[in-house]
Amino acid sequence: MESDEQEAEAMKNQADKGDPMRNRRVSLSSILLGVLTVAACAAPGPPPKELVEARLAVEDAKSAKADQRATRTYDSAVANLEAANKSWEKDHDAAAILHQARLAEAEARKAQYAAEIQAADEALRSETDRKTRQAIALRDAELILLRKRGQEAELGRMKALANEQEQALLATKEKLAAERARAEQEAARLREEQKKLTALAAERARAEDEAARLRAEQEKFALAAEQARAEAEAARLRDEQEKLAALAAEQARAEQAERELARLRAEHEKSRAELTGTLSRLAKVREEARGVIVTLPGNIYFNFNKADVKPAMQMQLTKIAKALAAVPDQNLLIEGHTDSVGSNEYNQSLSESRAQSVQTILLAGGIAAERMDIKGYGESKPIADNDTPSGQAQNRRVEIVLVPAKK
Amino acid sequence: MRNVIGLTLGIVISCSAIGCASKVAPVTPAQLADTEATIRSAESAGAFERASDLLQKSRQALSAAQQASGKGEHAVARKRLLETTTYAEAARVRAQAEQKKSEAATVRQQADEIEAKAKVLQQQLHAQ
Repeated sequence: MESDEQEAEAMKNQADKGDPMRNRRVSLSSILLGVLTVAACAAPGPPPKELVEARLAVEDAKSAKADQRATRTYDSAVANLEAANKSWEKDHDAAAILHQARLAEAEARKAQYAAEIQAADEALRSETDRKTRQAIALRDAELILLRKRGQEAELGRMKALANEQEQALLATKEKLAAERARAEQEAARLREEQKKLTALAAERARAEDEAARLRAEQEKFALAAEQARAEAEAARLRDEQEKLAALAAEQARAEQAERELARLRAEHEKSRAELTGTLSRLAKVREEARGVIVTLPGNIYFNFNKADVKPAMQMQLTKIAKALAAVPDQNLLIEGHTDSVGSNEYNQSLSESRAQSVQTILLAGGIAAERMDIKGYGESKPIADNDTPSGQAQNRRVEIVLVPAKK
Repeated sequence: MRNVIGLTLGIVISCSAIGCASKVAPVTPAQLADTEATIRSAESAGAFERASDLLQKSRQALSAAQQASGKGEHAVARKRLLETTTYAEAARVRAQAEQKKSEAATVRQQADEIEAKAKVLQQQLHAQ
């Protein structure tokens, strides 16, 4: 009990020193001290420090709403404080006052801090909620910002894409325009080609019509030509026929002529044979390729170095002339020949003169002058050796060559 | 009149206390240990830093209880032991309250910071 009283005294002294925790309640303490001072007028002395602290603690607890949040502890504190106050006011049991005051203070503080814990819990919950809300708001804002940035980036990307697409569209449009221009040019060209083709088709149709017309004309002409050809052929055939007829007639005539010729030949052969026979009796006759040759020996028909026919042989020669006159189809080539005695000029002249003499007699004998021709060969065509008198006699001669007259 | 009644009540209570003193059982070591455990619990809750005055009062009460118990004043010892426990619990609760307040302040600060950030962002959003 002694220690409690000392503490009560000490409490009284300390009540005025103040506590850091209570500094904020100075005004309230002053009021309480005033109340205590008034009460002290009725009490034996100032209340002990523990009682003062207990009263302050209860007030603090109430201020902290411990009467609502820590009701049981607060009520216990209040009960202890009331008990302490009563003890202080009535029996002044210092030990009981101090004990009750200490319990009141401790319980009041316990209630105060429990109430503060609740308040802090509430504040913590509230702040946590607020923190959560703000975090959500922050996250939402970040999301919105990110979304917005993303949208801006996307918008930028879309704009870039749109620009690219626009550029591509422009390029495509330009390409299409170029293609369209080319296509229009091509279409114009094709139209021109079409026109040309149409014109060509018309031209071709006209040409075909013309060709058809020409073909028709040609056919007509061909027909006419054919007809003409046919007519010409017919005419030609007629001509041919006529020619054939004429040819047949001619052939008949030729055959007739041939037969006549054969007959004439036969007659000619006969007359020739007869002539040859006749002439053979009058002179020497031989046949060569160029015809019948009648040789008049010189030594018989002519005197030496004379051109005239011997008179005795003129009758003979006249007979020959009459025989030759019977073959008017034979011309006479009278050729004079000499031997080699004498000069060539002389012999040439003698041969020509003797041929002339013979011609004259033949002319007189009835042979037309136009049937006769003379030729002097001199000594150029001997038929025997001129070195012998016999040969020379043979070479002196006049030959009458019977040559068929040309018709 | 009030003084007479108070005096009478004080006497009665004193007699009762005196009369009961001899009948009050001494504080057991287990009770002391429980009380000390209560103090340690308060200390563990941070009462050293956050409720040093209450913790000090608790220890003073414990010391007084031990002294009273040593003198055989068992009733006083029990009362001071009760005070010890009550102060220790008050210290623990205060430490917890301060802890809670600190947490609440931290959360408030965080909320303020987040709110400020949110406002800045919202302003940016509105500005765009």
